[in-house]
Amino acid sequence: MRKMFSILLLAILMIHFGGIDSLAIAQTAKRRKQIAANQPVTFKSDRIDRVQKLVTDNKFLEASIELYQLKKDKRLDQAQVSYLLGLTLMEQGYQQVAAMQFIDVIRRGKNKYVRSALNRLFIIADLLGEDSIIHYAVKKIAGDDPPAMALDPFYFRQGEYFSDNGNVKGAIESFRKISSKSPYYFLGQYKLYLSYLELNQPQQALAIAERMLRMANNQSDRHLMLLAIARAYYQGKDWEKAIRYYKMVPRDSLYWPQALFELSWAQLRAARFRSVVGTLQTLHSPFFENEYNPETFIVRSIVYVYICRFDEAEKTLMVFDKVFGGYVKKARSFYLSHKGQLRAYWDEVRKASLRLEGKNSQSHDGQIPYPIMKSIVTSGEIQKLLKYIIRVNQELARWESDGKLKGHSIFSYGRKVLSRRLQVAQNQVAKLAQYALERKIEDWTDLQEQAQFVMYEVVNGKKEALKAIISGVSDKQSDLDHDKQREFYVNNGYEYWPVDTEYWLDEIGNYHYMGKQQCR
Amino acid sequence: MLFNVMLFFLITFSSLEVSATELFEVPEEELTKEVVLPRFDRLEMVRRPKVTFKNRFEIGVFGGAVFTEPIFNPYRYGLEGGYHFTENHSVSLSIAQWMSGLNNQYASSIEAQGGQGGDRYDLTRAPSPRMSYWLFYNLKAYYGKISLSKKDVLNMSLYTQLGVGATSFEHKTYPGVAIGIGQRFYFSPSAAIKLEARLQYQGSVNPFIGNQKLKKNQPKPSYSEFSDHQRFGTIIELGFVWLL
Repeated sequence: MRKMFSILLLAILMIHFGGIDSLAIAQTAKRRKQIAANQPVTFKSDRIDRVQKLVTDNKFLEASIELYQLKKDKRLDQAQVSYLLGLTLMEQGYQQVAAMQFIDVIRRGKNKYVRSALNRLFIIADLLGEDSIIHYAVKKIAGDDPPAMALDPFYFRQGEYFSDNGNVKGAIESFRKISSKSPYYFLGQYKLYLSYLELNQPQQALAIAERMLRMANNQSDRHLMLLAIARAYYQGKDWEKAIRYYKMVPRDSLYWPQALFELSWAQLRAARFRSVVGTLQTLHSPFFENEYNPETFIVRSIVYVYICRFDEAEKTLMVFDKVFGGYVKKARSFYLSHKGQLRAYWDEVRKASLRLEGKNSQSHDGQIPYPIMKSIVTSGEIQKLLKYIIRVNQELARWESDGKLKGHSIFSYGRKVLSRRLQVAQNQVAKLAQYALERKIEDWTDLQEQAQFVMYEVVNGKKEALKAIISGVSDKQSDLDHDKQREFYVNNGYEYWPVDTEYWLDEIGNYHYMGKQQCR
Repeated sequence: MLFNVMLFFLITFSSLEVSATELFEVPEEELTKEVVLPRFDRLEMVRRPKVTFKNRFEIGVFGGAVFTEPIFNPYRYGLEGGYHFTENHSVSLSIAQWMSGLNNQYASSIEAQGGQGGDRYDLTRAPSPRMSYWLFYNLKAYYGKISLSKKDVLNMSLYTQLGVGATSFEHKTYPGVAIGIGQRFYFSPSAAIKLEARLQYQGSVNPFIGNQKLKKNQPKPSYSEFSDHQRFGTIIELGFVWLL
């Protein structure tokens, strides 16, 4: 591969510096050397010769150093030099620095290297997984021929680009073009499924998910598809089938907590109130104490109101306010005192990420409560950027430790490029985190309003119950559940026993609420 | 006796089980048949355990028997105190008072081997054990729970012990070491019944000296005439423990 690349690179060098019109020269090493020795050149210098020789000898690093110096030579075609520099850097795995060379070629406007540079840039962008570079490349390639050597990644990224820009139909068209043999196929089909859901076409989405479930060749994909099928049924308002598929996501799956949360909604829509509370009992167990899920407490309180367990509803709302109100209070205080301070947001993200990866202690020393930060940091966009930051950091570390680069002007240039990219990416993460926090604070206000509505129903329900007692319709004051005791039982399918303050790993997911509805 | 206690508990809980079964019905499709465990960042089997141990003292009373003691009364009772450094590690100190007298089961038949009347052996002539003092290091191996009644849950802990101690006889004190295993059933976050079984190896007095000297019609031998020996003993203790 490396040899092939050097042949290609040499051919390009000779074509452009030597005036050769055909790429057919790039066949064998022997032939290449003959060509290098015999062909006439239109512009020749010792330095070009040296670059040619370095590439022939697979000395890409030295070639990069030479080429970077050639960038200052105004007599040369700078688009050409940047393109070649990009190729040599790419060969050494310096993807981000190489990307800047290709972008430089593209920005220079119409020249004969633009198309090749775009193709290379797209390949790098796909490897780096950074949206702004991907979108830049995809946007530039649009209307032109897609890169032949990366057709499937291109269609996948193009689909994502369309999807991000609200062009769902365009996204569907792109995702459909991905070859079934491509590593991008599964993810592409999943994105296709999501696009159909976005278009509110759950039947098409369901068909894709069912097909992908049969094709899934690992447990994680299989679980994702079970979740996908359940979601399609949910969107199609087939609650019972949705419940069945949500329950098929096994407990050891990474998707299980999400499946549980969505299951509770499906059970609520199917009016299986007791089941909802049982499901939420799991989500409200201490095993999920680091999850920011205030909505589930509202759902739980609504269920209690439905079954006239007003004291239970009140208690749930109290927990909702005490736990999440405390979180939001701290988050709001941070938000108000750090407006526009991206560095502070980046620090919060970094601390939460370290804890998420298990590299930090379990005590969170950030100013924003960890459950909120966890929900922010685990969002797709931030995760994508964090992975990009890791890659750039790795590239920077490798660049700085490369002894042969030190002392050359390209060394400080590369360091500057990588540092700048890191800074930009960190600022992007910080902005996303700030925006997400802002949304959470806004959402909290909405949730509080909903909680107040439920509380109103609680008070009203209690009043009606008391009226019934006073008027003699009911004299069972004990029905009002004054002791606020919850009756939960654990069932593992064969035996059952009461939940008794402590929570066991092998019990969660098996809770059954035994309280009966008390409406009269 | 121990068997009777256990039987009592089993019968009591079994009768409660019947009433608890009638409490509810869970639809078949809602019963989970999975055996896999959920995955979390930290592997913890239990969160918010009902019984916590770390930095807690405990006191207790117990009674037990050395089942391999053929001569002297094997029963003893005592007090114990301990401290839990962590959730799993603790030390405890126990002081036991031996019951006086001889082993009812074996001693009289041994004494009868000497003959009748004045020829009969008198095993009370041998120095008998008085007190035992043991220091244990305890390692909790398991914390769990059990629901015998399906209405209530008992927490339990299983632990192993390593001990050093001494038993004082009327004339002398003998050192010893022990290993053991214990099980506790917690009726509340602070109160538990404990059951411990130990194997100990320690010095003791050999009550069999020149046979004639044990006979009632012979002059009583001095304690210094009895020799020492090392022996294994198996011990079972039952007690109540309170975590403070």
